[in-house]
Amino acid sequence: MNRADTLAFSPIGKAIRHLALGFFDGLHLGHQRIIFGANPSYPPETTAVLTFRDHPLSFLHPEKHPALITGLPHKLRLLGRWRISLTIALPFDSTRSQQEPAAFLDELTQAFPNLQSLSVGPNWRFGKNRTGDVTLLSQWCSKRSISLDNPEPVLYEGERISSSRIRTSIQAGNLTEASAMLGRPFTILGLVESGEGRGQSLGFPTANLATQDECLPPDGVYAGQAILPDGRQRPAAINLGTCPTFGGKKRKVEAHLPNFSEPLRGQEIDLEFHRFLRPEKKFPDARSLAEQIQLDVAELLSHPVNPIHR
Amino acid sequence: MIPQLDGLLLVDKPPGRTSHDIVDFVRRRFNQRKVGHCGTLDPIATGLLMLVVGRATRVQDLLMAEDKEYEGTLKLGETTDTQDAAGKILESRPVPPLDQVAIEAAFQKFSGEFDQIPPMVSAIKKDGVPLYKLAREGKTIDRPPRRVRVDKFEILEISLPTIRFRIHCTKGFYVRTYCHDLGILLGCGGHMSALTRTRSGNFELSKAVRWPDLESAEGADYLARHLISLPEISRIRRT
Repeated sequence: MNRADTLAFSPIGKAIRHLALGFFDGLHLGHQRIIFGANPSYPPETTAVLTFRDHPLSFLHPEKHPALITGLPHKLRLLGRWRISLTIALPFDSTRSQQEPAAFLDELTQAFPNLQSLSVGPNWRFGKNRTGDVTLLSQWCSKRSISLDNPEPVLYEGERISSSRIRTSIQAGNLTEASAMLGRPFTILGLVESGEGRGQSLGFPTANLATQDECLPPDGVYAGQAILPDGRQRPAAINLGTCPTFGGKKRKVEAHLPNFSEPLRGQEIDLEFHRFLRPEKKFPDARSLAEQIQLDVAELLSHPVNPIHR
Repeated sequence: MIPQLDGLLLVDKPPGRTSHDIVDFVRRRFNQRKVGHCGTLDPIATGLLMLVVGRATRVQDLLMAEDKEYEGTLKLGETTDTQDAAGKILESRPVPPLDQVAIEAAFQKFSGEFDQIPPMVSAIKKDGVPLYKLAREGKTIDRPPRRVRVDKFEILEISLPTIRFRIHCTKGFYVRTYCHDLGILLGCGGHMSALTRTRSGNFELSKAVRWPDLESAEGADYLARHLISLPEISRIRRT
């Protein structure tokens, strides 16, 4: 997949026929409908996604900034897997926030001269003070013989799937519901960094994940699986929390991969969350913690892959 | 036109300056209109002072509400009017021999949730007047106790009459008062002789700019380089 952070003209942009616009936090089933189209779906090799590097609220109303389900690296990874040809992640700054809708559309014309279709979500707004809307887009599109794809929201249990609804599910620990709306198991993507080596000393080495995904389920131990950069899948006992036994404070994501000893440091891995095993708790000593981890691992391996998701 | 920047600046506050001095310095030196801080550090205290600049002032309250970590020094035997080393000594008493068990037991008493009566010398307002102004006039008024929480304490060093400790506590916690109250509990009185804030939420002192660097810096570029951006603030806060 190609990446850019401006709307400057490029040969890749010239080859793009289908464009999806949106912030797309979570890249859930509703977003997938917008990006892929329907009957027939758009060929990914001529499709581009135009998004923002940062959520516009981080600039406009930082106090209302939501916890992101998919940080930018996670979004790029998914779009890459979906074989989308080009993703542009624009910075959202004061210039962008003050841009008139017409000026933004001029930039689109220049960046994507050969568009056949443009997709946006329901009620999509753009430009200064959110003055650009679907009506304005449809005028712009019809002048250029571009078809505007403004699909109805995708529903889950009768209600519209939205990023905020998924955040609520994740934070409440309702991962089955969140996964159903995401169209994949709830996943954190991150870079394996070196930890304190404590897991190793307990006999359960862990991969510590540095992630830009912000929306996390409640602290605890989860059964899931890691997907390695080469695509291999390994069962994973995931600990989300502050390691209270060792007086930790900072919230961490770490995973123990049973019967796996290859070094992972510096690699980007996906951690899929399948089942909640137990809440995080403080143990009197390292030994009782190690005993509990042993039970967690046995529980994980008793049915490694959650049948709901596969 | 001077660029107005947005973001969070972590500063290692030097002793002898008020938190507002630092805010004022940043405002003037870098020509920024909107600068505020996320929780006062007393003049004698050092360590992490978080400054919000521009649009980041909108998350000031959120950042202020986060738990804090401090390293402090309790000096036993002297009770002062401000509860710290900057105040006048009100009473001196000999420090009895105290073993580690007795000291730990006293710290243990002030852990978990408990009530703390804020000091008279504080920025808390009574009918719009800060208490420290009343205190300067020699007045003492009743202050309603506040529910606070110490999640963790560690005694780092005992070399009587001083005890060095580290604590994790909720916002609005007065470490000075904690020292004062520990002094009373240990029977000889005491005050806080040094304090360093080492963490606030997920923001750490080790990432802060040193005061000499900041003081000699010129130009908005320097500030821009050291500001944590708005999306980055959100990310650090949550993970």
